[in-house]
Amino acid sequence: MHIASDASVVLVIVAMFVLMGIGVPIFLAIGMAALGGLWMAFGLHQAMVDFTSFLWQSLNSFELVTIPLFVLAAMLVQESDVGDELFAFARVWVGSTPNGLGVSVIITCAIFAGICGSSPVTAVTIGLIALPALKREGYPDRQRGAMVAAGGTLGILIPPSVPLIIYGVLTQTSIGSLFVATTIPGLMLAAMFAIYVMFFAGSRTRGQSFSWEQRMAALWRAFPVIILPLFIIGSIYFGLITPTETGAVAAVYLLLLGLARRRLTLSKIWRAAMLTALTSAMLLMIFATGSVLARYTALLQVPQRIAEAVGGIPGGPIVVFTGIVVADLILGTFLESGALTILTIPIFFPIATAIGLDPIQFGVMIAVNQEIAQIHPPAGLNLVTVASISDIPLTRMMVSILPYIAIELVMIYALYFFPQLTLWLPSKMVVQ
Amino acid sequence: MPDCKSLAAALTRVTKWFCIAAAVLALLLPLPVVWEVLMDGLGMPPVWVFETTGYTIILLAFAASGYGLHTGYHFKVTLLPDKFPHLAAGLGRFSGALELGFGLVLLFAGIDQVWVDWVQDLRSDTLLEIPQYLPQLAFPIGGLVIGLQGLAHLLNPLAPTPEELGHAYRE
Repeated sequence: MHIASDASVVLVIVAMFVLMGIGVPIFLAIGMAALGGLWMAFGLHQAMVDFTSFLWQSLNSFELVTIPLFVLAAMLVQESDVGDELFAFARVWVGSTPNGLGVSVIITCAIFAGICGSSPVTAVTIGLIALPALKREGYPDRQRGAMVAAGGTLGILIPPSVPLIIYGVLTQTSIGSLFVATTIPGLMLAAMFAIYVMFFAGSRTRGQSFSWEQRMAALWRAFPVIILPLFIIGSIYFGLITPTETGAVAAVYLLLLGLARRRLTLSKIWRAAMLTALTSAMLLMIFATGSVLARYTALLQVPQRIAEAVGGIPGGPIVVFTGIVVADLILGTFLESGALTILTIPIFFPIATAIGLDPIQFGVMIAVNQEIAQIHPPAGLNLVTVASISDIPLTRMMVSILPYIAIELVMIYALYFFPQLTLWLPSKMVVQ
Repeated sequence: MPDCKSLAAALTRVTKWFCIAAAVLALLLPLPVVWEVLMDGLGMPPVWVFETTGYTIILLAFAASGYGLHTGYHFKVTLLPDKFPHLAAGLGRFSGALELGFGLVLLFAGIDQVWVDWVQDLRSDTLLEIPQYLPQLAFPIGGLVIGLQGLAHLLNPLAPTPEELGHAYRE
């Protein structure tokens, strides 16, 4: 007879983190730990049967089709080199503000984030264009690197957002409502970043003025791309099509647009397809093995027991919520955002609902928290990404990134104290 | 007799072909969904899109996983091998052994699952009534490619160069 004890759960979790620590791929570390846990609980044969059965049940979901579709859209937009058009558009429209070029970077990231659901992809695409331009205008290394790394994080929050898709599937929360709910916080965050850059994070250069003729020309060039984020949010808000269908339409639109403008060649399309397959496989395998681990812990009632234990902590919901934020930040410094979502949400979600947070509100808060994790020193993914595509050492960005982290922390607690920031817009949706 | 490196390269070529098949699926995936949007708009929603696209992503995930291990797309924490480069080969081999073990589990458990579906003639409870052994072939396929790539890592644990990665190289 096989007995599942508290010790076996601890062993499984410790083994998983040890495997991750020594460089085993995340999905494999989670999968081996889950398999080991099932083995200890039910024996090897039953563990193998349950393992494949749980994998199948977790992946067999139409909502998950959204992930490869939006990944494909992101890869196509990256291959189409639309970043320079967006950057030129932002530059002529907001470039006349103080530190105009820096503000343009944030605005470009925000628009690009409305097409691409990945934070590192946003940082790479915009960084490759913006970092040399910022250098030419005399922005210090530490400021331009932090600017792109922080702007890139908007990719997680502004829809489409891969971690929010995973969160939606895991918690049975409407992905459409989650996407719509991020609109106000996403725009607020972009505005706060832009204001910070305008007054505190630049070479203190006066902005460059552009004529209306130049502005309209830039708008004309960028218009086919700019309408895409509006289409994504608008179609979901008005209930025209589902998020999955939006992803498919966006991918086909970007493919046709790239071909029509001769920005996409067969080689580029093929590269986008390969990268989509590889990236989607990474995300889906983490989701699948993470779901097996979540089911194993659920069988032993671990999340419920943690939620009950946490409920008794003195200080009330705000202390518990702060605990979630801190734990998520620590883990997020080392983990990819999809892996972080799948590992933490089965534990955090029951706690969040127990302290009275709405599932949509909590999902958006987690997305903002993951944004911080992406730029959190010493090894936030976006910091590493910016360092790898530029001549800026990682250590040089570690102090200049702190104000952006502070802004995001302010946003998290604003979302906590003012739930209507996330809940108002979804409540007005045509189809919820 | 081929040396370890060329044997590892041959195994990686096999996993790459499966990844190419997955890339084709990824490229085709939006088409049925867009078709569904169009037909839905005309009041004639197709019954097959919902189910087949779901199966497609499962196959895509497993088929691309082997080559994903080779290209480094499967996210991992590289702090230890980065700090202590002399440990990189040993850790790479250890990871390869785990990949091989995981692949074998998935392969045999997957074959078992497919066999049960075949013998019992299990079908989906939808209008299509698709035999379940077909989509569940994703498990043995995934097990095979993950296991083969694990074996390749045991033989050659060093990370590939950007030139070797070609289209799969990322910044």
